[in-house]
Amino acid sequence: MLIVYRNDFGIRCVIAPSFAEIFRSNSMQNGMLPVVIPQEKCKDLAKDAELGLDLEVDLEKQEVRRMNGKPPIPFTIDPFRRHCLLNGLDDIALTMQRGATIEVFEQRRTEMWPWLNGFGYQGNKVPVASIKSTARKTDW
Amino acid sequence: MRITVDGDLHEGVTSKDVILHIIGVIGTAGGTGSVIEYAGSVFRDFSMEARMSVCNMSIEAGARAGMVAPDDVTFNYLRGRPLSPKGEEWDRAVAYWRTLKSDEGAKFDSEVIIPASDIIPTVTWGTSPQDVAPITGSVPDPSKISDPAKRASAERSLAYMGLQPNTPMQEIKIDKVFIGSCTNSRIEDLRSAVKVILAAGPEAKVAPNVVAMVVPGSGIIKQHAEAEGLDIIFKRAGFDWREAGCSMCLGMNPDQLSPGERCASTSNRNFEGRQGSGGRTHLLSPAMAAAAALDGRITDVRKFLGTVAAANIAAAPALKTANVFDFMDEPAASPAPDVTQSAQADSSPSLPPASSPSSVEKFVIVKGIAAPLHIENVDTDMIIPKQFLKTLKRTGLAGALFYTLRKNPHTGEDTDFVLNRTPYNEAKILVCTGKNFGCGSSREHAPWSL
Repeated sequence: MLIVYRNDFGIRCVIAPSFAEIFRSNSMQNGMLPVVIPQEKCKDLAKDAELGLDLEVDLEKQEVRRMNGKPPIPFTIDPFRRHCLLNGLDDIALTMQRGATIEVFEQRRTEMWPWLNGFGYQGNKVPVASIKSTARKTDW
Repeated sequence: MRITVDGDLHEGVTSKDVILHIIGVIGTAGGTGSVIEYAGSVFRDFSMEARMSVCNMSIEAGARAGMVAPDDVTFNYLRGRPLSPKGEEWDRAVAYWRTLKSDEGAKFDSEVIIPASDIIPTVTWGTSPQDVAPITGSVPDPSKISDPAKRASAERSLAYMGLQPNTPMQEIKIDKVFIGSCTNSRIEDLRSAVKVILAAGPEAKVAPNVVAMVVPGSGIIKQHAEAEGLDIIFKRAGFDWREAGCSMCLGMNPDQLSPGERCASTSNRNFEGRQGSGGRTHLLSPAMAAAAALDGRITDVRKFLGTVAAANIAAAPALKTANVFDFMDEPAASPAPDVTQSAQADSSPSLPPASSPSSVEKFVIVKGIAAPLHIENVDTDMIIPKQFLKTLKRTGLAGALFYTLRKNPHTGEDTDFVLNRTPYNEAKILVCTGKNFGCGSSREHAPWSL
């Protein structure tokens, strides 16, 4: 069964003059779009919002359309991120597609910087024993 | 970004003061888009633990990470530790590590130069790590701020913190003192606080209006501190000596501030509600925290320097210095995995097809209600407070979104915050007119709850 994670409250797009970096990339990795436009334009859109008007955010055309006949407001976004958002591409799946390159890197890393592997590393994944959870649910 | 601090620090000024001062200079968005390298004689002279406190708070300046080039201080710290390379591998590692520094004449995207002499013991007055003042300074006056967004922020902060403009920082009484957190709870931080207690004389006690706790950063640090007798000095002066943990840094456990309580804290974030709903946080160094505990208010630690202090310290029983290696495991290799146990996947995992089903919904066109928000520097503690971070599921957090703004802390009822009102309770878009949205902690729960 495919589980699609829907952002919870339902907000899929935040428009602001600027974002903190980690929050911005977390948003995009979760299918949300952070739109950066000048503060004056944010204030204009906030006026629409205060009148209860809808906004339409179009990632393909890279613009925010307004319902009151005023012209749409353009925004820019990194093309790679735009591609991922438009296609619902997941960072993990994308990374795994580069498995061969990762292998080559891992070999090189072991040769050049062997201390980074840690003690007892035999080149295999360390198996994790499955533990039947007998702990009571603890909560604070 | 490279931040260079050269010169000699004034006595009583610690690495915590340095990083608070830096964030005051560049702001919580100053480092956005950058990794910060800290350079200059001040950082060269810092111990590893002092450097760690600085790098720890780099995110509060908006940066992705903070770096200090490795040197002999670094190698001496690492040598012989249980997981450090040994023997020939150690030599190879050190040779490589010595190459890890910026080239002479390297060009940085931005450079900030701060003279060490500019920095004195520093504290925060507001609800952002950038709201700093020197200890000799005062709470700012919002009416003197020309930028309307900044003025509104300052007014909001002062109202939350219960402070009047132009109040001298040294007049602010406190209710609690917290010495702990990953920013400042290492052995050197504890020694720094103890030195202030000894300087105050053998009768020094936590002020009657204050509850003070000391939370060592790890079990090893706790053992180390007890071996040096630091716990006895804290307890004798009336501090609570605790087990290691996050404790009151973020109030995700019973160590919390009650609404309106004021705390002098060695942690790294003073956002609204961080240490407890309605709790008021002032960030400062461990030495300053100890001084505040003894004085009952935020105070200048430098009055615990000087000849009387020196005499008190000399008169106290000498503290022994324990060796941290006494508390660490033998540098032995971890047991090799039992190869028969698991079915190892073949070395190349099956690659997902290019159009692999993913758990992320597509974003093409979104049309809907937009909710307006007129706050700048909206931090992720405000977007989703810490009590909701106990889950790893990305769903079920709708009720947590902007919780402190949506629920009245006394009655538990819904406020008239925009997201509680129709039509905005069905908003698909949020329009924020303030900059630096999403600053502070990196919690991924923030976008999840939106």
